[in-house]
Parts: sequence; C-alpha cells; structure tokens
Amino acid sequence: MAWWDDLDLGIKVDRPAEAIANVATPGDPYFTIAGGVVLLTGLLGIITVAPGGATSLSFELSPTVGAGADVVLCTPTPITLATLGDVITISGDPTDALINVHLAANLMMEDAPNGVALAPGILGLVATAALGTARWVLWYKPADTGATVVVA
Amino acid sequence: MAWWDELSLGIKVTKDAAAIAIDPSPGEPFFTVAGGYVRLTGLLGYCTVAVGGGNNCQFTLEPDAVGGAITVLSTALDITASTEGDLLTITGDPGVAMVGGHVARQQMMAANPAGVVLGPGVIGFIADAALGTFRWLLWYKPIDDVATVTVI
Repeated sequence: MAWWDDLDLGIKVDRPAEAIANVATPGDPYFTIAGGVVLLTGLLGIITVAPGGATSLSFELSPTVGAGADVVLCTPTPITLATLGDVITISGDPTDALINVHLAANLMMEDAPNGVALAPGILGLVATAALGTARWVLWYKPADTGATVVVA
Repeated sequence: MAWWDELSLGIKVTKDAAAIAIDPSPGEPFFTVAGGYVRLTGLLGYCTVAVGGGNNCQFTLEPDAVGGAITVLSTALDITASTEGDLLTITGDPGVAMVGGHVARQQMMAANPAGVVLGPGVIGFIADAALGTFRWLLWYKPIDDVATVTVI
C-alpha cells in the first residue's frame, strides 16, 4: 500500500451504471474484498434511471471463510422515491436503514467516520424488485497490507 | 514523528495470531505504550480459530506511573460466537462492551473516532477461558513526539 492510499477516504472503486436486479440475500455480487481486512470508508449509489416503483435495497457481506455468516451493512430500505441524480448511501451503522429518498445530497459514513472493518468476502446488493439503475462509488483503506476491493 | 504518521488512522501495529490465554486483570500484555501519550484510533481482532465456548474478554491499560490505576478500554464481552474470519473491536467508550459475535463486519471506534488517549503503560487482554485464537491490528497517533506503541 502506498502512503497516498491513506489520504482522505482512501482508494476509490467505481462500478458503472447498471440496472438493479431482483436478488435475494446475500445479494447481487457488487464488490470483492480479498487479501485481508479492509476499512470501508464510503459507499455511494447515484441513480441514473428512476426506480418508478417499490423496491427495497440493502448491502450484505458474504464472508469468504466457509463458516462465516452473512452480515448486513444496513437494513433494507425502499428507494421508491429516488429519481435521476439522487444519492444513496449508508451511515456505517448496520442497524440503520440505507439512506436515501428523493435527495441529491447525503452525509458520508456519519456513524463510522473511521470506516467499517470488513473481512474478505463479497459485498452484495439485495433488492426486492428489478427497478431502477444506479452507478456506485466505493472507497476503502487496506487494514491488512495487500488487501483490496475490486468490482465483482 | 513523521507527518505521514498523522494520516488516516495513524501508525499500524500488528500482533500475530496467538491462542487466547486465561489472564485476570490487568490481562495478558499485548502492547506497550511508551515515550509519552498516544491516541488509540483503532483496535481490531481477527478470529483465526473459533472460540467454541464461554470466554469473557476485555482490554485494559495498566499505567507505568507509580500510583496509576488500571483502567478498562471496554467492558467485558463473551466472545463464544466468534468463528474464523469474524471481527472483534472496541467502540472507544470504556463503558461499552467489546463488539463482536459471529460477524465479519465492525464499525471502527464508532463512539470515539478521534481516538482514546492513553498514557504510557501496557495494554492487556483479560480472558476467563483459554479458548479461541485471534490476530490483532492496532492503530495509533503519537500525541507526544516520541510516543510509540509496540507489540509485546
């Protein structure tokens, strides 16, 4: 890890816009964490096509370790009101809902400014309907040297 | 202290995986704080061997200063549920239990993102059973220029 990877929110990973698929737990694989523990410092969704109907979203981590338990990063939340340009994010507290509605501004990781530690695994998006399109931006810092996050 | 020691969570110290031993207060010596005061900005345990039974654990600081009082960094948590790949941490509030369980995700120092001030002394790990194996990641920032944290 270069020293500049520790600046600000760390390393940015972009996932291009795509339609949200109806995928139950542990979700549509969006990002892969490998090589060790990372600190998730930001996770944003930007709506490019309005859902136009009821769908609830949440993020889950499915650990690579065989005995690992799927864990949520937030609770499921309807994004029905979101339209083009609106922003979705998480607070960092896994008991909080995904943060959204018809808003183009959101706080970044307000409940976990030092990040959320994640073990190696797949970060998945759980959705209850195939509605809407979004692009995603994730930031992380390696906790273990060599740990990475890439688009799945 | 170099300027880059102030980046992000500061300086990382790793403690290799070791089986948890039974140790009453002030606990098994894990890390030494020396040379001055530091801000503890992160403390993360990664389970490498499942605990598999009742084991109440917590961190303490035993100050070097004569007359110093042993202080807890958290209250005790029974870590029975932790298996390989699970994460254990503290919130930064000494009145709150360690945060663990069968989870591979943890908020980092959610109650104290600016860090916990520690004087010179020994950070110890109390356990009431010899169950489970963890490796540890600690982050700190020196308050006094020559202050350090090293693994024991």
